[in-house]
Amino acid sequence: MDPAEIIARLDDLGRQFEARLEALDQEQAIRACQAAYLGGKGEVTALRKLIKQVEPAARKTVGQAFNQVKERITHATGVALQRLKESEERAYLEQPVDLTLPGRQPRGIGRLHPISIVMHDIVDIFVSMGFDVASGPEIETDYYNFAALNFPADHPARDMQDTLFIKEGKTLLRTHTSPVQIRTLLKRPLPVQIVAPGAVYRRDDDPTHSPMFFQIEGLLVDEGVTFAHLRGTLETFIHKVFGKDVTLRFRPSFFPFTEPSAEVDIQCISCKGSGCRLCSHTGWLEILGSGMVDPNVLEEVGIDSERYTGFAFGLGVDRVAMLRYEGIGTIKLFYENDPRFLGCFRS
Amino acid sequence: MLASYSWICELAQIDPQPEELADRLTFCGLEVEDVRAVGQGLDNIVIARVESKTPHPSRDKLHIVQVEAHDGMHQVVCGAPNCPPPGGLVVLALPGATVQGHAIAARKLAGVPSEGMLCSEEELDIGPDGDGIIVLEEGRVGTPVVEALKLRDWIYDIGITPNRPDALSHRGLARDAALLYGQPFDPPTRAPAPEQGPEASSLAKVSILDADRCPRYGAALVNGIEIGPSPFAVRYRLHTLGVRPISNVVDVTNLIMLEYGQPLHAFDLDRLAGPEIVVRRARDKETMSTLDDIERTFTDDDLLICDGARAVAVAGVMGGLDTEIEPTTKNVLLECAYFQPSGVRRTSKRLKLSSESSYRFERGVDPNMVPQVLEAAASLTTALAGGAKAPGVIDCYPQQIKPLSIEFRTGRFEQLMGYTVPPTEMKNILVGIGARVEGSDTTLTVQVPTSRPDIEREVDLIEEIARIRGLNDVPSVLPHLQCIAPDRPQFEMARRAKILLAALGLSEAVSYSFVSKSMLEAFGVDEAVVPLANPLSAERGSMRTTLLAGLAENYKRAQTRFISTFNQFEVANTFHDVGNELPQEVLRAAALVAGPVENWVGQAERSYDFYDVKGLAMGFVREYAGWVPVLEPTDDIPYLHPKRACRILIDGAEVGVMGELHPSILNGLKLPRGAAAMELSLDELQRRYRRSKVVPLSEYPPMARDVALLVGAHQDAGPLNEALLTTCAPLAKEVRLFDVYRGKGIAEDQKSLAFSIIYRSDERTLTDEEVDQLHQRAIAQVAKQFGAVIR
Repeated sequence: MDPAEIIARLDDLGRQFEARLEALDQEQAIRACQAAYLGGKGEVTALRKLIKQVEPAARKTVGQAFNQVKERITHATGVALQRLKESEERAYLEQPVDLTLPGRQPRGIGRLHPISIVMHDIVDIFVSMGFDVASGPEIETDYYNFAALNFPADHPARDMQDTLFIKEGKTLLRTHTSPVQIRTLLKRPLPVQIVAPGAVYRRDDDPTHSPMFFQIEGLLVDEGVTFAHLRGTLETFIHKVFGKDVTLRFRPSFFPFTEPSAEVDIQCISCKGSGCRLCSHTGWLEILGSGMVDPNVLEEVGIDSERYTGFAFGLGVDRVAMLRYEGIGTIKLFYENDPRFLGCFRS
Repeated sequence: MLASYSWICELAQIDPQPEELADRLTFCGLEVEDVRAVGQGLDNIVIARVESKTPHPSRDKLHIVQVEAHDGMHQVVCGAPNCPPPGGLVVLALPGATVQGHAIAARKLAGVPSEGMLCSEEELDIGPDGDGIIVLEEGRVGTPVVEALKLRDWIYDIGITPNRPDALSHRGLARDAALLYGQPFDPPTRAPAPEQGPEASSLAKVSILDADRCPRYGAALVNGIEIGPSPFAVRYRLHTLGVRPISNVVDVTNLIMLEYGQPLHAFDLDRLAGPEIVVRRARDKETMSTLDDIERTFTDDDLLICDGARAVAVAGVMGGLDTEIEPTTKNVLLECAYFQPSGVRRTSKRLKLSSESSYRFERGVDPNMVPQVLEAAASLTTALAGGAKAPGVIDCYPQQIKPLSIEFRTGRFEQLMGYTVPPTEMKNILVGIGARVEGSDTTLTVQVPTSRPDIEREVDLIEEIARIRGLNDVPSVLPHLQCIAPDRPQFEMARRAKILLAALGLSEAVSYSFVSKSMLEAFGVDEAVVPLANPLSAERGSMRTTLLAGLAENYKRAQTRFISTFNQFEVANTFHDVGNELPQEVLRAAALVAGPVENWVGQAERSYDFYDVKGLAMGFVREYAGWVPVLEPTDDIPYLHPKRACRILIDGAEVGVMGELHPSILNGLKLPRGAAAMELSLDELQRRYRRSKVVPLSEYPPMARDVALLVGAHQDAGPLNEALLTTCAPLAKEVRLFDVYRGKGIAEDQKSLAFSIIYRSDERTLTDEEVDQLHQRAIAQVAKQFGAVIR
């Protein structure tokens, strides 16, 4: 076999490949074309079988020619693929989207209820201050809800909380989260430092009252607990929720289970005290009830009220939520669960 | 309670600004909720004298009246029936005055010029009388009416807490006010009533048959009175305090109650059989008509005031119709008693009859004020209605109530409050509230007045000191809490579920725990529901046994507001009567998805169905508890579709249910088809919680093989999926069903299931040949097991 002829044919195949490559614009076709020359059944491979017929002296030259053409085809393929990739990328870079089409939201974005968001935040603040979280049943006995909390039978103090009964005078929907105080004090060793969030119920239904709403109870019982500690705790809490510049004030009041008792107002977060509609032009917003745990309550659960003292407070979660989110005109909105309303609240 | 600023100031002998006093009271525990100015806006309204009165030329009911005021004569046309003859003193609104919101101007009335208007009490909002104009007994012509009638005042609306019965009176309020302003409490005294005739005790007899319920009963007799209206000042005071003036004697009882906090009752002595008063329990089913003309029926727990023959009053609650004061009454018996608070409350509750009197008695009046109040009432009665008091009073006091003495360790104040108050200041405050204080700086003996039944213990004295000083200079100290790792299982259980369900694309609902019974019945819940004894309405009469009842209500509400797509979850308790005192409360998570799925532009619309809720439930259980649950078809959950529902099991135990809502529920609520729901017990899930575990992460490449298999049309895909996975375990890592096809090219009773299987080794790269072999083995297995044929 004439080495020159083989070399010439190899040269032809190289040129032929390059010409065919010109026309291809698909990766698959380019790779197939390369295989048609260099693959097992390719033309270059087929020619290679003839090398045995070349005289030994010329084989080296022919071999080099084979390598050259193989390199030439491989290189051309690489260049073509690269060119293709670049052109695809250019095309992709030219593909616009309509930014105004809606994003895909198969089920919308799930949201927590504003009551939950606020409740979680409040609990987190107290937990960060070292309080534990406790809970109790929503249907309670008269004992835990009233009697143990120093509400005597046949006492007008019971009128302070209009009650929904399961069995008149015996079992009821808890009117406050305070029964958790009793349950916890009976169960845990001192010191007790808890908050207890949950649903509470009153027989009240008007634009400003919902028969179900949410409270967070706070309780600290230990040696040496004072009203100053109550103030410090509530002040820290209020600053974390409403900001450092919000001041608070205590109004002496009455709750059967605390003595002394006080209601706590914060400076109106909307007008900062100058008076507006939110605060009924008083500059202040009532936010919680609090006081020192009444000795009768401590003695009722077997705690020596001479040695131990404590403070307790009860905070309306709905109230805080209404202050935190603008535009909640009535407490009723919380419990109607209108999807549009629920879609308004971010954590 | 409504209270008069000027009355408080008069009794306390102080002179602050109305707003300032209101603030000070609020910050000592007497919350002034509202301050209303009265007797204001009455400019250009003066006292005038009638000089002549002639009939109107054309109108029968009108008169032309010439009146003299400070600036001369005015002609006024007046239509009042009681317009006085010349010399009478009237109240004239001059042009420029505003009466009931209308500007008064000179104008013609029925053709006759009129320069102003003669006013009635009602027109000036200073009394209830609108029948005629005000005619005064005395006064100087031209004096502004505000001055002449002393109209200027501020009325406080004070929220009195139930522990402060003493503050349901002007004297009680004034005592605190005086203390706040550093004034000793020394209110002006009344001249005693003139006395005449035989001793009171010889004219009437009082006997108490139940001394527990009535520890003290006092009475004063005033004879020879004349019933008539009270003078203007008395009527005005009552009017501004929200009490209707009735007659001088009845007005006295009300005025004394407002001053002292002690309810009084006036009986017509001549209508009392005996005359005698007997305080006794009612006989069961005994009846009597009260002042409001309603016949009341009593039980033997009710206390009655009786005369020699019959019941004449419900003790502490309301008087009887038969012995009420009438225009002809000449002699009265004034009752002033102390009734046991809880007894009055029980009767008042039972009769559903709350009065100013019962409100005070059930909170506790001062039993030791009885003689003083009787003197004051008799004095005021004779002043307003004439007559004379029978000497002495009748005072039946079988059960003495003595003032409490409390040992007060002054150091205890700091232990409880966290700051110090000098002992002398403590003493002054306690004296200021009416206590007698003795002892050293460290230990005081405090005798508390019986007007303060709320003060029984040392801590109550501490409260008094803190309250009077105010709580706003209390130091702020953070407690040193021993920070233990917070343990909050219930709260965390609920919170984790809420966050997960929101992450699954659902919005959280918080619904009322009570729903209508009919809603629970619609859900076919036959277990014992917990009903409320006194629900607000039937709509809220039963505690929910399933959260889906509330979610269905929410869905219904959304529909009525034209919102068609609904996807909400709720995490809350359900309530179940299990025969114990308290029902069982189970913390659950439920979801309801319904209506059209919000699809992306151009995609076909469809409704939520079983698979949507399955995706939610499987995802939730896997994430919440770490399990892939087993689903067991069920047709016996009344509110779920019998063929499109299942129980959700973990380790053989049921943790919840899911499925499409039964059409009958949707029809009943008039809701469109296409709603799926799930409900799970978080308690059950939490109990089976498995910790997350990391699986080995293979570093070798995966190899994918697909296969389409023909099976019977009713063959479930799940078992094939499982067989494909297990046959070549552990090298088959994942099997995914990517197509289900029935129709053209496939026999009617068959369907094609197309699976994609991922093979991957943790130890090496699998070869094509190896994977082909594995794949054939897997296919052979399902062929054998399910008669599946490669398509």
